[in-house]
Amino acid sequence: MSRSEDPAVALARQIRIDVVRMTSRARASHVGSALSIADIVAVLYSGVLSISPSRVNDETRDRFILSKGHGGCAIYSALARSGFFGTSELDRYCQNGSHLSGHLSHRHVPGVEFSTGSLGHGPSVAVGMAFGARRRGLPTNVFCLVSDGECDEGSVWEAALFAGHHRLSNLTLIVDYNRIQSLGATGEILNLDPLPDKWLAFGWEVAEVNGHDIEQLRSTLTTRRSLADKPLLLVANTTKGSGVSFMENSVHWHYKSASVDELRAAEEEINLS
Amino acid sequence: MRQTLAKSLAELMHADSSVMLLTGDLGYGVLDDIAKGYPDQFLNVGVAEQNMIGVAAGLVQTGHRVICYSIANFASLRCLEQIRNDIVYHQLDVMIIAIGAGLSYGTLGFSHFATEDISCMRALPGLTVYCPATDNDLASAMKHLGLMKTPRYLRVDRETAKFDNAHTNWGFDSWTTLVHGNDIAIVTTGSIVDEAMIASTELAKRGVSVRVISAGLLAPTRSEMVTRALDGVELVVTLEEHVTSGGLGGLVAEVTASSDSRPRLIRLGIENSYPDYVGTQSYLRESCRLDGASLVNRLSSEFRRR
Repeated sequence: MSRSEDPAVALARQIRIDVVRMTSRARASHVGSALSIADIVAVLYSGVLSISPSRVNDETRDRFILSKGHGGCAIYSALARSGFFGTSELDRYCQNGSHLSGHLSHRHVPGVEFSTGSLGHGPSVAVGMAFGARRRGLPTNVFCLVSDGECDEGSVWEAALFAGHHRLSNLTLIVDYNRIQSLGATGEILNLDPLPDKWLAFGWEVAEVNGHDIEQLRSTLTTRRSLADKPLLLVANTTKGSGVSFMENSVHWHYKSASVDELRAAEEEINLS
Repeated sequence: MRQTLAKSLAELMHADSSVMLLTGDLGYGVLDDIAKGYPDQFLNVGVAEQNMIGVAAGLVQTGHRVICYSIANFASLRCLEQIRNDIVYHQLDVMIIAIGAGLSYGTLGFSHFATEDISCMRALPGLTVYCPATDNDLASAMKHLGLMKTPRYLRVDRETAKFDNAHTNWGFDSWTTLVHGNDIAIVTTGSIVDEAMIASTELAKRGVSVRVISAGLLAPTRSEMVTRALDGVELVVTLEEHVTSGGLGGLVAEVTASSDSRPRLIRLGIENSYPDYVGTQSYLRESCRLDGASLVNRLSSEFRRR
């Protein structure tokens, strides 16, 4: 990378390299899901989140919950690259005895705020954190990243109703809207559109960005919102498998892992980006 | 039981302003004074139990201690995975209070029969499960549970057992023997202990010595605690307003099956199918043959048969 490169751009590239390697080595699923959120995660861990390895127990820190726990390898990468634990741990992803599980787990992994893996849990925990932080007067901001298919879960809407009712302005929920869920297109399986209107109706402020545009993401996630008495729903329009052309927009890469040749091709493409 | 519970809850909330009480829009006539007296610590999350458990987890993560309150099935089965993943796996300071245990709400119908929750809650490693029999038992248990910082599930009957001796020393970490006897041990959980007391008195007249044990703590349990409570009897009977698999009967079966001195075991509870009719708690106990008179009939013949 060039000396002047945006740290978030560099981190996003590193996350992509890490997740294709980790999933390939482990023969693990969900590489497309992890690539989809690489830029969002890179922006969060490059200055948006007020966190650091020395403050993992500081009650004023920001909180980030990856509710789509199947994309956890992207978080392990971001945490390791941010100094929360050694990068050599990433090689043990999904290996026998490893704490880095295929769905995100906090146990023995510094920096992971909450364990997930069953969809629809994160939003409720996030709204509880936002409510609790506000009640105690903490400066904490809470961020939660959900998948689009995850919005099929009723519990997401229970949390949405609660956050809107309680005007949790310290809460930001990001939807990774790549429009592909486990078995196909969200529009064909259970249509979410018009997604922004639904959240607006639940009492949220809504913004929409290109989920791979670092500047747009950073600007929206850091700029103080006009209506600071509502939670923010950020629709991040993304591409599943983003950054590796042969993995993009394909449901197959929800499950497949890269072969040796495919890994080499993927790394080459990511490094050229 | 509910007034005792409300008093204990108010004490806990008064002593520590970080304690928050969440309800899934239930507690009419029970939580009213708490809602008025501690408005900053009381949160009605609405009819949304999955969200209630998740919110509880988030509140603990931001420095609170949390109590969740709802009718038993809604506080357990409806949000079972949230309890498992969000509370128990993370070992958070959350106490779930499930009211209307067993057949407490017998006239409200099948949806309100809380007859599988012990099995489900017992299956979660790291969750303390307690079911008090009486008001005094509940008040005593609340003192223990209030001090704990790990996940716990409190299963509360609508009414206290009529048997409630103020001098009884209700144990928390060990089961409470209410009547000493050497022939049969009847082990119960919750207010149904009344039926065992009736049977004990009647069987004593027939020369059968019955031990009555109230099993409050249902998880975690140590084998020695169970075997010590049952020591010396030839026949053990478990009695519960719950399915016979996985609950108290299941627990005793698991322990006795692997113990050296293996007493004969009869598990009494809900079997085969749900009652498809309604009635008061006492009516349903009778119709399911879980009442004192049915116990006497069954155990008279069982004990003669040995």
